[in-house]
Amino acid sequence: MAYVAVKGGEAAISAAHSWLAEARRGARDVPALELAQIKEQLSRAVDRVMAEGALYDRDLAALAIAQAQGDLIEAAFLLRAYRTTLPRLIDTDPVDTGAMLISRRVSAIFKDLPGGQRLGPTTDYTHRLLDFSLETAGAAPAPVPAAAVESIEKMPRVTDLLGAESLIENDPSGDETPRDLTMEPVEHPAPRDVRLQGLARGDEGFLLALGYSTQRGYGQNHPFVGELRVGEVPVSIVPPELGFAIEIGDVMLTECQMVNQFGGSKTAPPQFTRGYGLCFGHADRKAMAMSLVDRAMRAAELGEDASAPAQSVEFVLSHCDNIEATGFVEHLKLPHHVDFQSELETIRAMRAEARETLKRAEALGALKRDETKRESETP
Amino acid sequence: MKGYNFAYLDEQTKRMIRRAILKAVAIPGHQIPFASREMPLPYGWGTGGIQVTSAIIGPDDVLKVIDQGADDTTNAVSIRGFFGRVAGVRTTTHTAEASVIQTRHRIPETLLRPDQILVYQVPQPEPLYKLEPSRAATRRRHALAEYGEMHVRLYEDITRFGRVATAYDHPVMVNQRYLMSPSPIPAFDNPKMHRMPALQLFGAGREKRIYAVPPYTDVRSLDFEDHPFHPGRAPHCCELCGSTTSYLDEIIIDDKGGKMFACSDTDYCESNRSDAA
Amino acid sequence: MKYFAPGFASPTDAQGCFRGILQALSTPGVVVPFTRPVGPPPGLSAAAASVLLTLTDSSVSASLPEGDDAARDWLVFHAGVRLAAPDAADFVLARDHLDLRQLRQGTDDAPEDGATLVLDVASLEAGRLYRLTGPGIETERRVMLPLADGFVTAWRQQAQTAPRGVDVIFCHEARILGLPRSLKIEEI
Repeated sequence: MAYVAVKGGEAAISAAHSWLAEARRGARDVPALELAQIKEQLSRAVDRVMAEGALYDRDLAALAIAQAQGDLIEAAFLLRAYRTTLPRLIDTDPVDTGAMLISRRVSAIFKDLPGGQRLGPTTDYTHRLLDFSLETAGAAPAPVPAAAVESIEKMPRVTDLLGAESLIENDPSGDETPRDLTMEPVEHPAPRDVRLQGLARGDEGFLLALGYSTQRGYGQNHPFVGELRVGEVPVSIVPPELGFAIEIGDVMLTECQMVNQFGGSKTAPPQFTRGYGLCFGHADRKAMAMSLVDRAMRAAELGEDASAPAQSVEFVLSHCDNIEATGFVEHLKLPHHVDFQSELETIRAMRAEARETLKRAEALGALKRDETKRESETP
Repeated sequence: MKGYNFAYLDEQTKRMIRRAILKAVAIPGHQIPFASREMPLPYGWGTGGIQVTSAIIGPDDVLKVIDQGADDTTNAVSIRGFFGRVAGVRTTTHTAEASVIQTRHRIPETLLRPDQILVYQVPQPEPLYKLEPSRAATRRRHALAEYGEMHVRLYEDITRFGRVATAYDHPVMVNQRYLMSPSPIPAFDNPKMHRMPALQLFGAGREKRIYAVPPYTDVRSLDFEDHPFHPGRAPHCCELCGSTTSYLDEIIIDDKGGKMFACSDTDYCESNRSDAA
Repeated sequence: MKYFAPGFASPTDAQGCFRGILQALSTPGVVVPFTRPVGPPPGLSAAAASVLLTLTDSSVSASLPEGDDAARDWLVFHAGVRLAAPDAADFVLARDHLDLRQLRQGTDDAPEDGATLVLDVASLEAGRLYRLTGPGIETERRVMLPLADGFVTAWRQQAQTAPRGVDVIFCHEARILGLPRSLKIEEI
């Protein structure tokens, strides 16, 4: 049978895209998802995609989730690729999480504190029992009294309470302009501003596992949640034409201040050390994991032994970006037959050489046996 | 394409990449860090090569894109289509007609000319990465030209197998100074890099490095006096065009293990066949 | 109100100039014409203006000679480039000889941080005859270059601390000539 060189890659891709569109739509007798439904009712997915896509836009995140058929890493990739094309107009002022309009704020280190413990819309104390009433679409929850969903402004920071007694190390000074890890490639050892940026957009699962590892002994932090707060924070810019700040909107943020093992000695007064987590949306898990890993990565800076995976800055930052990771892992699907062919030829050649070597050895052995036999037979 | 700059990347990004390319040409074989962007294709699928091509390409260029030596492999089709959309450039499958050739894992069999640029897609730009995973550490090795470890590693193959076992991505010494990854081209292709008349540019998007080999530059595969570098090739001829010198793909043609060999470089093969016709 | 000569008419004009610069540094010693250079401000050749506008922006720094206000204002307006002293800048524009050793050399880890010197000269075909060898040149290239006294000595000294060093682009009217640091220059 004559071999005809295969063509048709273009047609195959086109057909694949058509099939993908079909699969994305699903059964036609089921109503198509509206982006508003994703935005409103899958808000935690939207939060995650904004965080890992490194772009705060709930509508775009909802679109990406729909386009990605719910694959959140694929959705984050769509947002990142879109982000690349956006013009960079201006950098905002640093947001003041102290001015947060708080919907949720808890602290594990004090039973009660100014502002109180406010649970907010948390799943923390739900019983993980599947709620089959959700099978009926449109089943509305019982209305909640207005006061219970009110957000509160300006709760003092728990870490400031510790700071007032100098029990916790100071926050590093905020005067320097932070580096932007999207504008300059990361060089190791990376400074803390670059590390925190990497973590903020890092894969939640990876950071969760690393944070968990520190709790199990791979780098010990003795962490306590000083404060976890969730709410809306105003964003402002100083346009050069105006010369003063104007607020341009709000973003929802989750901030975790982890209070960790104290440093110090007999002579240097000991203080608690900090771990910090901050991300878009309502994401306790991500912010907490981030703060554990942030603290772990400070091990060398704090004079601690730094041998655990979470403590290796280069290891963590090189592998926490799931868009990089999935690109490279999945690229193994691409044709590699040329390299494989060269491996095949190498292996075949080595095996042929090995056979030759073995044959010669056997021939030599047989020759020696003959000689020995003849010698023994010679009178 | 509406809403996007010519060749997709914004001018600021192109300038950043262009500056890196020029320094790369001035320091042959040295990896220049650059602020690689997320592209509409995934990291690991050619974003580095795409960014380099996007930064250099113009409306007068003719672009060829190959993967595994062929124009019609899926990712080559995808990338060629991308540039068709965002740059409107003329594309071709004929090596001789192209001014810019973006490639994954092969160097074309046809000798390239001084007016051509070869852009390689590089998954792992660091030739020492298997010996030392930390880039901070390998940066120092390159700074001090400390490459002894790699020689030892290759010699270990010789003591174990009787030969160097690197079938592809065999490291090269460029301009007698920098150890470089040629990208995962088969060892067979390495000699083509030596004093190539065309400019060779290398883009690694995920690892964020650009490097270059100017025309007519010394590129030598690492080897030893008693075990010189051997560019291997399947000991067959192409069943379609008869070539005994080109790199071959092995194709399984039935379920009894029947196989045939054909040129990996599809344009080269077709040209041979049409010349013969 | 200040009026500035316009910048590039389109991204493809900048791309065209970049390809010229790329060719000049990949094939050192060859005179490369710009086909669509930018209209220069007073005091700069079209080639020098094009090189600076092609390669600089707010993320790099440039040094221009004292008193070159028109050129400086033009470049800052169009490129948003940061101004810096000659020993610290990424791009250094000069008209006469500048001691290469005074410019940024880069480090062993990051030799690419070495500066790019843009020399706006009175002629590209003046001066003495030199033999150029190295990457980009098949055997050798003999060219007349308007090199100031001491340039070749400084170039040789630079080669001793290679790969650190400075790369040079000569400019005249709408043509350039490139000398990457990898080049060997010998007087004939």
